[in-house]
Amino acid sequence: MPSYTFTNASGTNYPIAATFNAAIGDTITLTFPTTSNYNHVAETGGAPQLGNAATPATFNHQVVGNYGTSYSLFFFTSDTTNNPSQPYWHSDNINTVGYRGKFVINIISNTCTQATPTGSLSVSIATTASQNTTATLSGSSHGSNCNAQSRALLFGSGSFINGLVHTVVRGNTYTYEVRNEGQTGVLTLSNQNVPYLNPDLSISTGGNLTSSDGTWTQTIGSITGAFNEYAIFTNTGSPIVNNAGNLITTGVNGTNLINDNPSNSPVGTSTFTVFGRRTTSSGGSNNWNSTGTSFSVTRSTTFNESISNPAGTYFDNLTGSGAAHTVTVAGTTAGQYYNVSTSASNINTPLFSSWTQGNGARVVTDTGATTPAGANSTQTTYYLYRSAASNGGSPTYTGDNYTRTLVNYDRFLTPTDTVNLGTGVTSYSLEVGNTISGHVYYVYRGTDLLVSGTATGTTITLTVPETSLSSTGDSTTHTLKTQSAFNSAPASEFSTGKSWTVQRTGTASQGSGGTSSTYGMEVFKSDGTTKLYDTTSRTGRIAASGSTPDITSGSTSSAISVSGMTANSTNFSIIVVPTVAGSGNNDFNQFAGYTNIVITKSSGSFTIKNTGVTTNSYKYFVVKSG
Amino acid sequence: MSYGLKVFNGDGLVILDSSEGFSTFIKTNTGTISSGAGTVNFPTGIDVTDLFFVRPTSNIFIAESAISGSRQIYRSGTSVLDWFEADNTLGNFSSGFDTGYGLNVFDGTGTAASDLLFSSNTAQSLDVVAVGSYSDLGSNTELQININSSTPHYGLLNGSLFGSGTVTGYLGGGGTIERKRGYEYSYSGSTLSYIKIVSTFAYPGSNGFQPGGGDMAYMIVKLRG
Repeated sequence: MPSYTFTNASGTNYPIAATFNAAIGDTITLTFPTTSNYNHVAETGGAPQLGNAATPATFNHQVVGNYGTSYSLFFFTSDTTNNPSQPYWHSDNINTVGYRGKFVINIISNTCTQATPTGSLSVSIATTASQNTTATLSGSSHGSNCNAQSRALLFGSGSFINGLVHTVVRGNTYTYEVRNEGQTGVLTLSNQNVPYLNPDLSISTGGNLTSSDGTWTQTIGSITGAFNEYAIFTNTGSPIVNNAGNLITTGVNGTNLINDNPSNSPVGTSTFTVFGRRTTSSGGSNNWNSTGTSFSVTRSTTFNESISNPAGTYFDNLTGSGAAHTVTVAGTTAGQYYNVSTSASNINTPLFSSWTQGNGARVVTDTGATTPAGANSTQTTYYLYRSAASNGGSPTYTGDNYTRTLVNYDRFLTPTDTVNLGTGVTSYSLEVGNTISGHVYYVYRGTDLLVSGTATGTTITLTVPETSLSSTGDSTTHTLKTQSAFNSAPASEFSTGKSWTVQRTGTASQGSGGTSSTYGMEVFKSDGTTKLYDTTSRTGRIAASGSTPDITSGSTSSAISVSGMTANSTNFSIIVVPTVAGSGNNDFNQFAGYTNIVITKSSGSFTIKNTGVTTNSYKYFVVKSG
Repeated sequence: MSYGLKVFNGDGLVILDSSEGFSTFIKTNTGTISSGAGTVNFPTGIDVTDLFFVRPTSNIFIAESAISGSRQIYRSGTSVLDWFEADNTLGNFSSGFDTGYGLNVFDGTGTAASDLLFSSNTAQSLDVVAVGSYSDLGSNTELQININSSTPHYGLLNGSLFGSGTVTGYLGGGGTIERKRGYEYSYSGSTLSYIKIVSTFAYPGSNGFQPGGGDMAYMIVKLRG
């Protein structure tokens, strides 16, 4: 809005102090600062509207009237200090020497009247290295009082903004429109693509390569600029991937193409083409484009196959004839097919189900193998063959062989007798004989795994928990399973067919045979194999024996001494035989002497009470079994 | 003990303890009673008070038959009976204990057969599989000992009993009376599946079999070697 500060004397005839070109409604601000020449100012003449005021004074005037006309505002000043007893307009105070002036106001229009800008539009795109960039429009002409507005339409959508500069996204096609603010006519520039920034496709390589194992590194050179990335494809555009399955690239701003995947370079010569791209974030399209530069890799015919597990023992789990095991092959050559034979001179009977490529475990089915009986074993040597044909044509023995020893599940030695658990016993020590080092052994109760362990020799001792037997007489079956890494299913355990019964036998006074233990005594017969005593033995020692004198009916014997006996000892068992049998017929006395003999243990001795109807004497044995 | 030998089995039970002075029992006599059923006499030379073990080879019950003065072996069905007599090592292993290799444990008074508590030179050993008293069965009339082995297992005949007869003038009329305390064998082929320790008593008005009780010992041993 226009304004003016009144600063100078302008005479007594209201000369023009200032001229304003303004529109109707504009506000004009007039300022009269403090000065020594006057201290009051007043509008006068015509129809004053702004009044008067002491300085410093400011008057705001809103323009009224009609366009194309003019009018003036008149001001005179006065100094009321000349005669304070008179008002400001009194002649004593009016500054007659003249600090007066008028302000001329020309009412003119500020509306843009141009309906459509003129000219021919064009656009320039900034080379910013990013996905978003700037489009600047030019070529339009705009009339007086006309403000230029424009928009960038993408898929028909976009809003006008002041000015001619827009942020646009690379890869898109825009239509631009320019107009005058407040007007509807537009200049149009249609279908303008915002281009991607191109990668540098004019590169060079380190030339052709050779490799003995199929791995290699190619270096890209002559790269101009930044944000370039290169990759390798076949000459038909198929991507070349590394061992991790990812496209082999230099990475952004990188130069090395590293191939760690031998299968990309089979024996012979392979040709690769370098492609380049610029990433989206750097203004590129992210699409690979051929540089037109190729190179070749020639791989020599060196083979390095090996058998990862050259010896092992397995069990056959085939339902049919023959036997199947697992072998792991390493160092295979891409493009070559492999199989196994039982002969080093021919592979008339391949043992893999088909000729296969690559490293890893394979199941070998030897249809001629027969599981030996008992604890016997059969060792067979197998030979690895190579062929360049998928059907195994023209096979060659690789020079790699391995052995597998086939054994029978029947070989294992497990308990042949019931394992008895005494009172409170919740585990027992199990010794499995004829085990194979490295194999894993499992003890199951039904489907419940109780314990497992890996053998390190020809026996394994496992502590088998058993808590399901709560009452005397309860029994269950434990089963032995085993797992070999050389079986056709190396991750699974299989039943050996060996099982045994585990029984709760103990009450307060019952006994049972012992359980096995790692330490203890073993006594063999002179044949060296038959055990007479071992850690499962429970011997009986005769702690006392003899006869009582006659004991009359209803009487009790004198205390019979037994060293170490206690009142509640379960290790001492007393065997008593009456010397006089029952007598009589057809009544209870026929069992006299045998019924209800009362034997009472105490510390260091026991007694026998005759509850029969006749006098009797008794033969006794005291057996200690613990 | 200051000196000597003490051996435990896997359960911590004593197998051998020279300090206790007890002699291991061994097989001292053996034989076979030919197949038959019902009662049969003890073998010649065996007294009913000798420590006597019997093994039927068929699925029958065995016990001593003691009724009305008779002292025989009872078998509930037809079977051969293998038997052996047991006794102390001490004084009963007089020949061969001191030859070859092996382990002899004496009682500390000398190195004669009469001092012998234990010897590894016996042809066979006796392994106690189950032992207790018939009264241990409490309110039960039988206790099944699972064996599942083809190794010979013998039951201690001493203290067992079978007798069956009639009584009169009891409960207004009388009837059958039976006492049964012994070993019931069950085979599956050549494998001995289990032995039941049986102790029953039936009499007029007993409403079936009652627990037989009895403080005398039962014992099952395995003959090894």
